[in-house]
Amino acid sequence: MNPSRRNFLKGAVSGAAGTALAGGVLIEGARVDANAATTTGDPAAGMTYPFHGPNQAGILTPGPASKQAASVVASFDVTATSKAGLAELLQALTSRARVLTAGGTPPDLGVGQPPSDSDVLGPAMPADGLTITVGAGASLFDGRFGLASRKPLRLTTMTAFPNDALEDAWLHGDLSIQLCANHADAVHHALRDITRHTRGAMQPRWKMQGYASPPRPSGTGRNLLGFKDGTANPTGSLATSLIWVDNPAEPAWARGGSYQAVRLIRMLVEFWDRVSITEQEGMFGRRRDSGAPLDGTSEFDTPDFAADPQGNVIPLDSHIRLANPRTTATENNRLVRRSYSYDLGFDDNGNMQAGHIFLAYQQDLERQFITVQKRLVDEPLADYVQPFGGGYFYVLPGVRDSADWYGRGLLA
Amino acid sequence: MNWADSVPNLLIGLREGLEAGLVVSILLAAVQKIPRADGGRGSTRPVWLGVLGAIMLAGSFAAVLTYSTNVLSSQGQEAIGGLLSVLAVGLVTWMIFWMRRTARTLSAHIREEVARAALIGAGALTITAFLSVGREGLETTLFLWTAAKASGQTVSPLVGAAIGIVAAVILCWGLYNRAVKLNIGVFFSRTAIALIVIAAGVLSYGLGDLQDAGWLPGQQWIAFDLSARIDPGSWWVSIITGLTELSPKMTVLQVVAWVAYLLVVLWAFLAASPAPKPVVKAAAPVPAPAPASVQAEAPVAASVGSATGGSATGGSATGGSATGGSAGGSRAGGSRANDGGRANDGGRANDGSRANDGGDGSGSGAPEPGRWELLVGRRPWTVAGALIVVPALAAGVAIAALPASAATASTVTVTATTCGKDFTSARTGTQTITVTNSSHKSGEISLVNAGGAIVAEIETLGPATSAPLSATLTAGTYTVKCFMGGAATALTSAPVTVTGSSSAPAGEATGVAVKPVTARDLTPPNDQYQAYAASVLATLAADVTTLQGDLKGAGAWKPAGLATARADWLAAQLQWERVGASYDSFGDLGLKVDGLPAGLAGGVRDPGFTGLHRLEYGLWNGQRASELAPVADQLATDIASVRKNLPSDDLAGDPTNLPIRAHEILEDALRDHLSGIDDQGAGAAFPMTYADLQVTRVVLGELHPLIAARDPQLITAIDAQEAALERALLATDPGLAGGSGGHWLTPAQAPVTDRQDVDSALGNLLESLSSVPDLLEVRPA
Repeated sequence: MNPSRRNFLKGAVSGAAGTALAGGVLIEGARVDANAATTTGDPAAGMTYPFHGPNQAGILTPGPASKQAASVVASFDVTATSKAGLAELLQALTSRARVLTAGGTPPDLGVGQPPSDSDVLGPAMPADGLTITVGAGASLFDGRFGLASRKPLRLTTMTAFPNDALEDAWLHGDLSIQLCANHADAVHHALRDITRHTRGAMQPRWKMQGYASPPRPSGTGRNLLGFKDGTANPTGSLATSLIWVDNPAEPAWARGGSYQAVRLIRMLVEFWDRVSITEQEGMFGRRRDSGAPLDGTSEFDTPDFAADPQGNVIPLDSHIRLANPRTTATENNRLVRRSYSYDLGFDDNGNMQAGHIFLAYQQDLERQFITVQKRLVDEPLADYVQPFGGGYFYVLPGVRDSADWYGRGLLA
Repeated sequence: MNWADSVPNLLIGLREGLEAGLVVSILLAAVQKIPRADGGRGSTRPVWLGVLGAIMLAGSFAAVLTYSTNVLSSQGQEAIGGLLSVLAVGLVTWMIFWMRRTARTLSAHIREEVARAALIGAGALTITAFLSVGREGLETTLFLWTAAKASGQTVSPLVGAAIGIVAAVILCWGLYNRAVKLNIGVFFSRTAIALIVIAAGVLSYGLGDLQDAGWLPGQQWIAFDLSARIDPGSWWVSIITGLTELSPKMTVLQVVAWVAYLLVVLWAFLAASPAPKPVVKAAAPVPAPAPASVQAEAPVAASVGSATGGSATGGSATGGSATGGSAGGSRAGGSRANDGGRANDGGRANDGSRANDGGDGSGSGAPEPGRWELLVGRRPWTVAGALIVVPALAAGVAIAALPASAATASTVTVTATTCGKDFTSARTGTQTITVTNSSHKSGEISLVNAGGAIVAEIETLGPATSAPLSATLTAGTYTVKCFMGGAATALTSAPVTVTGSSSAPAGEATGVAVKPVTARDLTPPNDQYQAYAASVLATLAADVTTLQGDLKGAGAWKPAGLATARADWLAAQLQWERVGASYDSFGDLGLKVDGLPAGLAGGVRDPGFTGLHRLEYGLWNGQRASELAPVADQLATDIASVRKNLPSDDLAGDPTNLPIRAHEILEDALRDHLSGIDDQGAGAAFPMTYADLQVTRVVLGELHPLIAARDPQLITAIDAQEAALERALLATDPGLAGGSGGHWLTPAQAPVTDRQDVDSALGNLLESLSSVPDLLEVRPA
């Protein structure tokens, strides 16, 4: 082998080795970064969802399958006494929501006032994937603000269903504010900021803080009964066609809004844990481990109720069968759920006080949530859950641009 | 400060300084060798002018680097810093090898250039010197800058670089005058190795910066992270990180790059074969150790020729032998050094002198000078002026042309005797100024506008600490004031005029600049407040006497008597509220009057539970009059004591407490009354809150002129919000205005909407009142 050939080979080998090393390090680095972005919290802090648009964020942006991990649903009563005062409140809410969902360094107010921000999220105030979803309760359309004639067609005050145990302190409200973010501190911060700027015009009624479970181990997150919850949620254009109000009979201002059903549902988890797995799975109609329908093998298999008219495989009174019979007639009863779990203290009897913040969105409360809920009356699962609070709200149309504000059409 | 951080820059400064210094030495030697018409020796002035120009160039480059990266976002800074680091490493690596290869011929080359330039004129000499030294200067600047950046420090790397450069200058001077002998061969090959190690660290740091900036992937792929296990401030970590520019947390890419660079470059540097390769045959017999030709300067130049190049033997080196040098490091270096040494002593000088000597007038066959060269070549002062001024001007223009950043961060220093000497510029909009206290006292720092109003402040800046001063400025003139160690008078900076928009940029709120309040300003209002409190206390004393009378008489309750005692208790309680002694602002005496059982070991049965709430507890929990009468007696004594001590600083004597009272009385109402925390059975939250509103109005009335002079809109807002709170409270019970007359609604009895209205109005008012203590805080002036 002559020297130049040897040199050439040496050069080629070291060149190839160098390229392979550099390429390997860069490619693996990119892979690790991508993984880190999805599994660790920190890169998520800078995440933002667009605030302006025809519909509010926090329902399909991000959708239920990728909803933020932390949430709070709070209800407020308007203490402003005039329509102008209400408009001021909604404008203040809009401007805070715009700032909070965008993130950024809070303003410096100088030495003559306390600081403008709590710094709970640090000096740079990341958006942390925050979405803010504002709804109006039926009570907002009473005589106080002259809005009675503008009430959305289907908006009513929630009344008790047969198995409910409603408590006044946890019910209704003039406004609902749903805050969702990647971390609980961002949700706390947003609520604290919003109330600080709106104290004079609204006061809290109730608040429930929620968290979403990550896939365990895969697929849809689980509720506190241990079952995957939200598997059959409509997605894509189906979801869009089921939730955004487009009924010509509705007031014009309401276009682009959605009906929100909030149900605070205690889960009697100790009782539930003392039930056999067969009975548990029969009540849901799904396997607990995989989330598969009892007639299927994996989570997203479609149950074939028609093939099982007697309910030998999936009981006729199972939750999934009652909630979504999968018939043509019931197709437009479907709704989008975007629920969270909650955990409070202990009950007087020593049981854990925990459960489910059921959040459903639809274009017609009567046709969708109320119809489905009526079908579910006396389902076997009802023994293990106690709805005690919540209400119906009308999610206002989206804030379209920097000049628009929540409910501008309503108050026009 | 970590002095280990100064070592790499010391080394860089020393080595690069020596390189540049040797080039200057060669230039000077060559110039002095040039024969002149008058028979004298060539003037060295043009060379020095060129060197000065080169230094200016390096300085301007440093300024541009520093300013241009300061205005970038942190991500931009990381990206640019990373790129420059990689560039610097590339340059330094190339220089190390280039020097090895060409240094042997360097001095001959320079000499040729000098001879040619000398023919043209002094201006050309200046340019030659500028070009020879300027390149070294730029490279040195870049490497020093990136190494300093990698260390994350500013002072110690600069000090290190300065020491290194000064040492290099002294060394060069010594070598030039033969006062010092140095084995330059060994020095350069050894420092080259150290330089390679530092460069590896800078490369790894630069790649980390590029990863942070998102320009390279793998930021999350961490090779190791010792930051949690080792203390980065410990001396040994400081030394390791300082010397190697490595950090306790590194990504895989950083580690791989570090190891690969070290392996490849060190191998290439050290493992070059000692035996000359056949390639040499092409080499022309260049006059070998050319430097030796110059008489006095020979030693230095000879050293350069042999040492930096690392070529095998001083005498026989040949220009083309790229691989022909530097056998296994030190041995070859050693022998070379000896050669050099002999060259100094002995007279081998003539060997190479032919190149220059023979070239008299002919430029050794150099090309004819061009028109342009002739034009500038004869004007050394013009050329020097241009070389010195142009870089400075270019740098100035570049810096001036840079966009103002979103938040410029500048630094202001406070010393024992000066305040913000370096406060020279600011801009409109929001910015953060870092204030560094290098004195041994703590102090208060404020940024004051032309009217003397405070725009931003740091209330306490500890000795030898730094803190951010965040300010939103509009066009105007600003001064930094420093009140150090409680000094009576402030140290003041020179005024800085900020031009630009007269209002804050869109989206940036402007805080109100606050005219400072003095304790003297607050004294008259506080005197009014004391007089007011004294009269309220007199009424309270009478109320308590009535209550004592209620409780004396019978041994058992009569229904009517109970109702009367309860009504009289409320009158006394409300009167106490109207004193405005919120938040324990009347100290232990105040607690005796209206303390709560919470926090007492025995709770409601604790003997320390006395005063109005103790009476309330008894009156609403069926206790006997005989049991409560002594409590009422004690209360009367305590109130007498409050009246007597009212002017003391612990109670109402301190005027600086008055603005705090303006918001804390109602904070107390929200915290203690409306939350139900202080309720001992009466449920009198609404009447008590109403009384708190009344006294807050009195306090605000006293402070009105001071607030109105600073923030008139605040007064308007507060007035409206007070009215709203009054309406909300009266909605619960119109009788509140008349002192309740023994009837009131407890919050639990009131409709939810009424409570919400009270909470809403009170919360809203408190948001406004919270500005009063900040606005009227007594600040040194």
